[in-house]
Amino acid sequence: MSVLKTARQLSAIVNQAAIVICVVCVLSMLAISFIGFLYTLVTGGALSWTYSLARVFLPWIGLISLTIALYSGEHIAMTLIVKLLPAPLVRLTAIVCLGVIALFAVMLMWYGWEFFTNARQTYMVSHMIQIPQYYTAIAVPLTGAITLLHLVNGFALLEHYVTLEDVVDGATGEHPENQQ
Amino acid sequence: MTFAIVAFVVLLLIGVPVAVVMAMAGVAGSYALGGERMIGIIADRMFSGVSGYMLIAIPYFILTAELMNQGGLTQKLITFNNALLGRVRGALSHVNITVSVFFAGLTGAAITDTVAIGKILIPAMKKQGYDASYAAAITACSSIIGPIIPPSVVMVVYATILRDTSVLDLFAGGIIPGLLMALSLLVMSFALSWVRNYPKQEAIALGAALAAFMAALPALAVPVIILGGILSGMTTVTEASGFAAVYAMAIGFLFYRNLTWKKVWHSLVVTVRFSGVVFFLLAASAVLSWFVTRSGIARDAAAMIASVTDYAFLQLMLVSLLLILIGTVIDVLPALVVVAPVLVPALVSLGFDPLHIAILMIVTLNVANVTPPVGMSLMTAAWIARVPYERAIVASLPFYLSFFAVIVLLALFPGLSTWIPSLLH
Repeated sequence: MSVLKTARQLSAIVNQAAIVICVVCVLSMLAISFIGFLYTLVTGGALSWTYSLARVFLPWIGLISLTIALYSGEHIAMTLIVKLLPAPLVRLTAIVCLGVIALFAVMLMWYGWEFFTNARQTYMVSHMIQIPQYYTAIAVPLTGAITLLHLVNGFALLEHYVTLEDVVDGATGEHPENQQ
Repeated sequence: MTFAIVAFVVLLLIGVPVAVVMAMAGVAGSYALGGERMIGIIADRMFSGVSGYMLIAIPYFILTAELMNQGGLTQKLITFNNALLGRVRGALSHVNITVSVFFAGLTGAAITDTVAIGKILIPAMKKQGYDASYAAAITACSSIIGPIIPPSVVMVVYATILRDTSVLDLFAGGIIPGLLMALSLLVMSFALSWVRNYPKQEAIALGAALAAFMAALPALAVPVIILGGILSGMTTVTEASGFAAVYAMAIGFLFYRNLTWKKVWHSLVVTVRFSGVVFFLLAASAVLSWFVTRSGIARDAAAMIASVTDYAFLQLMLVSLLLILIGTVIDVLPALVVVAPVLVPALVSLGFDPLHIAILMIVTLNVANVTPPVGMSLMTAAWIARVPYERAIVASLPFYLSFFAVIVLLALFPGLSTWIPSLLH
């Protein structure tokens, strides 16, 4: 039991780290875009590097933030029929769901690592600023690993047991995730 | 292909997250098409799905809306709109709609609109003697204007999935349909208020009305900045959305003076969380789209639509009905990323304008946000109003007629969606 507790604590810490990484990425992109906007406004021209640099952060936000959504148990599943089932069957479908998510995470890790190693050999995000693509490609297997780790939270990740109150709290910002 | 479709339906029905379902169905389909070596596309496609430069605008739009909300904008917009419509019978009902129009220019998300406006207006309406279920119905039904009037996260997602339609055209194309929806709701709201003798508000002094306008003015400038910059060609969508987020922060700190660093952090956390939901769908839809494009499903869908009727209007109404049915059991964004890659190429091959289809699809799927059994906005509004969901559904029935009228008009007259974009070219 203590192993599970430790794993859940680790999952929470990793989620907090993911939030900080994504916030830093959003703010960095915002700064870059704002500089680009001001430059266009003043000179009428466009800065050539803003596009390339902003694209470095985007896959990180795009992929890592999906683990945050998953951890928060956001409303992204169709549970209308499942919620009509008797409790033991709801439990069974929830277990199957966790299994499918685990398979998805393992595939993302496995093939993501392949994608990362291929990216090491050839590609760059942009020749303009000479940033290798593996800086961004590593986000794919990392996302798989984080997703797998979050599965230690079990049914809390799923919408099978989410109430409408949880959804409203999420929309109003009263979600526990925001209280830190 | 059958394997992929069966996997898709079964996983969806047992409650697996929609994004995971799309990715796994895409992988299953790819495996069926090309064997084991095709499974690896999951990494490449998910990476590509979240790498489009335009997607930077998604967290910016969400952040702007969150900062404005945290800055107390909702109350200012309500005061301003109350000053405009307060003396008309059923004032708060109409204010609910007009505030949603202004809010649409800021958030572009229906559920945010429902919660932000509903938490203030629903109790106020109940206090004035409106039926609680009506208050819930009008709040939810007006909230779906949000994703139709630009800026709209839904439109950015659409333009990312189907690259033949530019986000600029979608933004411009959503203006008339969004206003048309507001107008149709207002007509119904006026009629119901007159029949049910809903109350008027106290008269507001001109000075107070002007003060309300001045207080709301800096916030109202946000949609002007975003749309003005984009439609004039002065800035790109990403630059304008980035500027709007910085501007929202600046007026929150300097003008309204009620934004704190704690609220900014909260807004950023909400931004990454909600962005995660959108990006998850986009990444997964890239895997599914890869398979859909190669499987010939779109071609089959086109043949099926054409086999039912040759009449263009009926074909569009048939598709709209299908979209409403899909939307009744699934949220707007997942529904869009699932059906758009199949239906849009099918309809384009039948000769329809891609922009016309895009707007019709976005409007119709949004209507499904307030239709049973899964109408998230309506469920949320009913919960805020503390009324049974079934009563809120009954109270919404007259507004479904308004929406139906708009859908028919949009299907009949493509110019309603394509006229403003045509002026930009």
